[in-house]
Order: sequence, then C-alpha cells, then structure tokens
Amino acid sequence: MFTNIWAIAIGCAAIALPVMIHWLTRPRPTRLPVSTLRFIRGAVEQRRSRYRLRNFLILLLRTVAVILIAAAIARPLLHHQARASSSAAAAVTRIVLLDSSQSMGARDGGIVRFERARPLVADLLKFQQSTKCNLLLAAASPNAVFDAPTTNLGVLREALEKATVLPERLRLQQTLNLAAEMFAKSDQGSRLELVIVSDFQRSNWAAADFSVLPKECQIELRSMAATEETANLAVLDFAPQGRVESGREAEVAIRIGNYSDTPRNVRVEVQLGNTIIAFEGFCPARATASVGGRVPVNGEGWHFGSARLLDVFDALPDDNQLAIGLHVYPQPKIAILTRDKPDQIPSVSYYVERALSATFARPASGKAGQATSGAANSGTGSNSSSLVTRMNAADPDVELLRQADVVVLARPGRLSNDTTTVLTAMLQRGRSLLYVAGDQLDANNLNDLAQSLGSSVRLPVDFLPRTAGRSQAERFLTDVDRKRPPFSIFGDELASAVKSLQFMDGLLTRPTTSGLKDDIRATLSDQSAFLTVTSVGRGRLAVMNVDLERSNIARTPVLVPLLGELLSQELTTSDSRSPSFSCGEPFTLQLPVGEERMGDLKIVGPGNTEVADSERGTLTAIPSGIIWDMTNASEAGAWQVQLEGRTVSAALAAIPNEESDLRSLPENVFTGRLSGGRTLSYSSGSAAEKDRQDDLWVWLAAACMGCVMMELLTLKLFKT
Amino acid sequence: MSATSAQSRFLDLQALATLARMRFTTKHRVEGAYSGRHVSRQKGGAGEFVDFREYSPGEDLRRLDWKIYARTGKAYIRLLQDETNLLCTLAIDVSRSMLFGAESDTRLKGSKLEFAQYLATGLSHIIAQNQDHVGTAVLSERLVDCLPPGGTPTHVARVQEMVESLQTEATTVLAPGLKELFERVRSRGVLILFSDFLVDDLSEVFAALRLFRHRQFEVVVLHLVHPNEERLPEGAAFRFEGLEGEGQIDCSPAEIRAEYEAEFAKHVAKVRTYSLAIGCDYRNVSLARSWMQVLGSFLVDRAR
Repeated sequence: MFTNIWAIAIGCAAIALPVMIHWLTRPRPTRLPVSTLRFIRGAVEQRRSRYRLRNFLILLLRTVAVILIAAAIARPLLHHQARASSSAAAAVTRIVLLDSSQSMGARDGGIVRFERARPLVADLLKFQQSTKCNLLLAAASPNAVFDAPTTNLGVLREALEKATVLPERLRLQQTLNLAAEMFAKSDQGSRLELVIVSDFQRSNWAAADFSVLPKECQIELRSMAATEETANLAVLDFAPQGRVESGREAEVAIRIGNYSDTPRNVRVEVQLGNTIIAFEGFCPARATASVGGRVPVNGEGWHFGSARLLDVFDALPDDNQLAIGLHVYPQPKIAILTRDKPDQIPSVSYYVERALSATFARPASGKAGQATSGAANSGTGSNSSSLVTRMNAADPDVELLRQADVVVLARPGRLSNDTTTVLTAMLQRGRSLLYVAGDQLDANNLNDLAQSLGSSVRLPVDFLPRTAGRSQAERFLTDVDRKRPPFSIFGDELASAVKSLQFMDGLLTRPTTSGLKDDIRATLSDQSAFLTVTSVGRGRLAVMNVDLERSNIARTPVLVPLLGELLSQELTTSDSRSPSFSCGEPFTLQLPVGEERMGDLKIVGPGNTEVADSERGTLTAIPSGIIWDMTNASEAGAWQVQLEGRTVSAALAAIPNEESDLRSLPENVFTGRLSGGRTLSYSSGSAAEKDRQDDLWVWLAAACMGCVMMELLTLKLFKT
Repeated sequence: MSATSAQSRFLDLQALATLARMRFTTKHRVEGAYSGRHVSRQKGGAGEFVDFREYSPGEDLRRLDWKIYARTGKAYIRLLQDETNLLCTLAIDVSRSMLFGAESDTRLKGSKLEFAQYLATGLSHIIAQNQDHVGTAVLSERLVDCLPPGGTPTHVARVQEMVESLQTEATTVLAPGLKELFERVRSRGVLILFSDFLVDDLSEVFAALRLFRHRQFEVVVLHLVHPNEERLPEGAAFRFEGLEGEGQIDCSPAEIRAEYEAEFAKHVAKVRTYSLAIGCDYRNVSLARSWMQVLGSFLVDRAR
C-alpha cells in the first residue's frame, strides 16, 4: 500500500528519463582521419568491456535512483493490510469507530493520539467503488454521522475534520450495539467491516463484548497508543471535610492519581475565589494519594475555582486541572421547641440548651455572628451569644422556625397539626430534627410525624409509651455504634464514658419490619433504641430516647459532646461539596428553591455562559421542589443554576477518572478472549510503528542518494 | 647542379646553405663504383697504407713488400685501404598513413610525407654535393618506383623530381616493396628508409631490412612520428577514420588516452628495438622539429 500511489505512475514514467538523458547527452563525434587507427582500436578494445560495464552500471544506478525516489514519494506502508480494492466486485459496508474519549487527547511522542488517528480514519473514508461507510465518534454516547452507512463519504470526512476529543469516557458497548444495528440494516451479501481506531484503554476495553456484532463481520483494531507505558498524573477529586461554614477554615483533601511506574512528589495549587494556596505531597507509583489542608473561605454561598498540578508535564495535560466548587454555609441556627419555661431548672430543654450552647457558641465577633444575631435575639429567653433559640412549642413562630437549620424538640408537649406539617416540610427540604423523647406525648408526636412524612420514610423503630404496670428498672447502654457519630467522638474512652450512664423512664421501642437497623446508633438494655438517625427527604430525623431529668446523663460529661457531635456531624452535615459528575453523563439534582421562583432560574455552564438549549439542561417543577436535569454536561467545569445572579445549586462536571489511566489492553486479549469468534486483526499505529513506516521512505530516499553517490563513484573509478 | 635542384619545390637551397659544409658519412665500408672519400671494402694497392700481413702463397705478388723481404728475408704483403664513393638509396614509404597531418589529400602541408620529401631532397642534395651517388625508391606494398644511385646532376634532378612527385597508396604493408628493392640493388651502400612504420607487417619489414644488412648495407631507419600521433586530441568524442581504409571508430579520446599513448609508445619502442637488433641506425624523427633541424642534427651525429 502506498500513501501517494500517483507517485508510482510518475516514477514509472520517470524511469525513461535517465535513458533519455543517457541518449541525449551522448556526445556527437567529430570526424578525424588518423594513421594510428590500429592503436585506437586496440585501446578501445581494451576499454570496451570496462566502458560497457560502466555505462550499464550508470544507467542501472540512474534508473534505480528514479525508482527509489518515486517509491519514497509514494510513501509505502509495509504493515498496511490490504482492504477492499476499488476494483473489487463485492460490496463493502464499513463502519469506522473513532474513539474520541479524553484519553485520545494524550500525547505520545509529542503527537496527540486523536490527531494521529485523524489521517488514518480519513484514509479509511476515501472513495472506493461499492463501498458504504459510516463514522461513529465514540465517547460517553456514540455519535453517528449518518443513521446508516452511506456513499456520501465527503460528509463523513467533513465530520471527521470537525471532530475533537471530548472530556468523556468511552461507553463502548453502546457504540458496538449501534454499529451492530447499522450492520443489521446493511445490504445483504455485502462484506462487513468494523474498523476501530482507539487507544484501547484498559479501563474502557476490558469488558468489550464483540458478540453483538454479526459473525461475518471483520473487525480491525488500530491502536493509537504507544507501545511503552505512558506516564500520567491527574487531579482526581476535591473533597471538603464536612460542612464548611463561613468564617472558619475549610479542611479540604485533593486526591491525586499517579498512573506511572515512578513515585512522584506532587504540588497542587488550589484556587478558590481570590484565595490561592498550594499543597504538597507524595504520590506512590500506580496509586492515588491525598494532599490537602486548610483553606480560608470568606463569605457564604458557592465558591468556585480550580485545583491544578504544578510543574507536571505528562501525557494528558487536560486532567492536571480540576474544577472545584465549595458551598460555604452560615453557622447553623438551632431552634428548641419546648413547653418548658425558660427559667425552669432543671428541665429537659434546659439541659439541651446548655449542651448546645456550649457547642454552637457564636464567635465573639465577626460577620457570621452579626448575621445571626437577629434570629438569636428574637428568641425568648435565649442566650444572646448563642445561636440556639428557644421557642414555645404551643405557638411557634413559623417564619423563625423555618430559618432554623436544626429543630430540637425537647418536651414539646403535644404538637399541633400545623407545627407537624411545618416540621415535615422542613425535613423534606433538608433541615434536620432532633427529638429528645421521654414521655407518651413524644411517642404520639413521633407517630404523627411519621404519618405526615408518608410511606417514603421508614423509621427503624416504633416508639411506644411505657405502660403503667411495667417495671421502672434502670436501663443502660448495651449496644453502641462506636464507628459512627456521635459515639465515634469518644474513641477508646467510649466504654468508660457510657459505663456509668443510667436511664430512667423514656420510651419503649419496637423494631419495624421495613426500617433499617443501621439507623439505630445505640440500644438500651431492654432492647429499646436509645438513638436513631434516619434520612427523611433531604433532611435527617434523629430521635434520642431519654428522659434527661430522670437519667443521669445530663449530669455527666457525656451529654455535651454527644449532642454536639450529633448535631454537627449528623444533623448539620449539609455537604459543602459540590455534586460531581463525569462529563457527558446525565445528572439530576433537586434544587432548594420553591417552584414559585422557577421562572427566575437559569442554567449557567462553565465560563458563565447561559445554557439556552433545553436539550442539554431543563428545570422541572415537582411537588417537593424543582428538579434540575442535565442530559449532557459536555464541558468540564462548574454548571450552576442561578437565581437573580446568585448560585442556588451547582454541579461539577469533570473528566472521568478512568480516562487518566492510559494503560492499553495488550493485543492478545483482543485476539484471544474478547474476539468472540469474530475475525479480528490488531495493528498498532503507535508512534514507533508509525515511525517505522515513515522510516521506509527515509530509507528509500537514502538509497536514492546512495545510488547517485555510487554513480559518481563509478564514474570516478572508471575514469582512473 | 643548382639548376636542376631548383626544379624541386622541396629543395630549399637557402636553408641548405647552412649545411653546405656538412657531409653524409658512414663508418661502414662501402662499395663504390668510383674513387671517393669513403672507406671501401676493397684493400687494393692505390690506397693508404694500413698494415702488413704475411704473404700467403697464391697472393698477388704485386702487393709484396720487397724492401722488407730484402731486409728480413720474410715475405709480407702491404695492406692498403681503398677509398670509394657512397651509393645511397633513399627509400620512402608512401603508404597513406604518411599523409597524416596533411591539410587535405591534395595539400600535403604538415604531413609526414611532406616532411620526408624535404628530408630526402635535402639529403640527396648533400650527398650529391659530396660526389656520392644517390638513388631513390618509392615503397608501398610493392616497389612503386626505383632509381638506382647515380651521381650526375641530371640523375640527382631526377631523384628529386621523383621525390617531389610522390603519391600515396592505400596499403598497410611495406615488406614486399623492400624485398623487391633488395632484389633490384646490386652494390653495397647505404639504405635510408623514411617511414612511419604504421604497417601490419612490421616483422616482415625488418626481415627484409635484415636482408640488406646481410648484404653489408648500412641501413638508416628514419622513423617519422607526428606529434599528433603521440597523443590523442582533446575533445568529447571523435569518429576516428583510418587513412589506409581500416574503417572507423567512435569513441571519446579521454577514455582511451592512456591506453593509446601506451600502445603508441610500445610501437615506437618496438621499431627501435627491431632496428637496433639488426644493426640499423635508428633515428626517431619527430615532426615537432623543423626538417632542417632534423637534417642538421642527423648529419652531425653521423659525422661523429
């Protein structure tokens, strides 16, 4: 096969050139009578054989030189498998599958794999008689230029010219299925060819299933990956630890992937708003490692930025940077619904308020404190320096209640239906509820609340009031989930901390059939649940089964850390981390906005460009709020929903981590395990082979020069 | 004498005046018809005393030295050397190869034949001036013409006329003419052969010359060599045509120059070797010099 077949024809014609030159440049003799013709004849006879040999050699060398230069210009491809020739009578249906996933953007030998593949695919899409072709650009979803193979190859080549690498992973099987459908619709009796041009990344191709293709389909795999392993580093993930609150430093962790055989010291620069801070760490070979630390954040709301590797020059530069987003929350507002009087000491609400005030004390000064002072002051009998607000459970201020992040019910008495409805709605929208339950009214309230939440919520236990005839024996903790909050905070001291706890009164519990046992964090000696934490809608409902007045827990050092940890880790854990999705993959998010504001919302893509295309992203109103549905986040970066210029929700589209691992599947895996009995050929279009193919024309040109040199040498030799 | 010589266009008396005192001599003993300046093969009673020799019975008693016989009682013969004139034959090769260097077939200027004509005419003039006899023979594949040696002005004029009117013949052999000449000449003398020896029968030529040598002829070989024969002309390509009808060859002189020069030098050396082998006086006559220079140096060398 030749790249420039026309050069061969020109070369054949050019072979006549040296013969003509030889003939035209032959000297015209001058007539000269001589007396010594016998000596001339003798000399000529002596030289004749040499000169015949010389002339033959010169003519031969000139002809060979012309042939070689023609062949060099024709660029022969030695390892190129012969395809259906234009003169072949049989029809050919050819589908070219071009991998346009992110890994094809990697550079091998300074050349992007996709750019190396482009001329190869263009060659496959050249016109041939009785050949129909189609081009499938494969990434997260297959993109076929035509619905079926066509003879309009010009459009295919135009589509190829416009094709680019997408920051997506390769969904191979969908593409193979689509190719199989196209083959099924192709003309009967035509030869079926599937040419796959890819880097055959291990993560994408290990589960390839060619069995969906017709048996008679010839599969040709063209690898664009380098034969040697390609080193790559990538920023895989950015994760803030817990809830990031305004005025406090955020603890962040950046996960780095080292896809090379060499351990690396890495340096990551995090830019978040106006803050730029660098972290350093060590990443072992073929492993991931986390680096991170504290990042100061200022102001509430969404903060966007990037995390990028410094001083890294690897094969795939696109994954050296990751778009990051951080939702900075204000400090949580806690409302205590109780019927206890503020000055009633001791009381359940008193103990709860004191415990929470110790944990959620407002900063002595600062912007965050000023922002919440209004809410704090509006409470009755609340500490002015605390974020904890007491409310009368009999007649709560609903507006003030709705501003609370966590509602603590401490002996609230019998809740009204309105209050129950408000609390249910708050749970659905992501607020949390801690119920310190100790008497029969609390059991009734919990049952009402469960009924109000509907069948979607399944509490792990049913709460039952104590019957009058039941013994009032003291209870103690027997089974504690020490690995999860709030008990995890005690660490190794947990046993000694809970050993002395004695619980009087409280409710009895009965496990439900549909509830999750994992929601029970601690169990009392009578098998009643002490603490349950259940996800309710977007919020969480925690029930602590204890009578604080009659139990000794309120008089031990256990209550403060227990409540503090419960609220900070379980009930106020609104994740500051922005949801992250792979580019090209659809995602759905529920927005914390009422449907009445739907008309004011707009979707903004990376670079703050508004997404007007409804096919890419839509907002849909549902009873519980608004659903943001993105079908195709094709660009890496922050995708936001903004309300009057303020971000209300955001999602980060990133390059899939699988694309950073550039290792390729070896040939024998395809020809052996994955071929599925199909005719499958594998050829490497790697840089080395490409160079070797290219080398051939260099060698031909060198041989041509050698022929010219040999000609000069021959003339010199025969002259002397 | 001068009147007859003036008839030949090759006789340049003004030039020859410088050689007026030169003589063509030979160290060989010769046979002449008349008394002359050259040593004769005959030892008679009229020449200069040379030696004594004991008398042998049957010898001519007139040569017995009676005075010695009277003084010593022994019979001695007085040996006296006769001097006679020189019989010189100028044999000229008229094969067409002698035309080399001529402007055309009819205009012989610059050719070897013209050079030979000048030399032969000059030599005939000098030989005749010294009271010697000169004759001429025109050689080709046969003896084309022959004029026995003579000493009269008329004869010399005829010799020069014959030399002047030489015509070349297309032949590549010379030996038959020489043999025919050998059969024609009777008395011993000097044979001067003007030739380029570009013949096919070089061995036969010297075999014929050997006959002359056996007959006690002194043979002088004047080998005429044109400078353009020694080396090939400069140029890209030539069609070389043989003057004696050998055909033609197309070639580039540059390609065969070395071989040609070697071949030609080998030929010259061969002629010289053959000549010296049979006792000839060999002279390589290059046409690069004028015929007067050649003639002068030839006569000087001969006189030593």
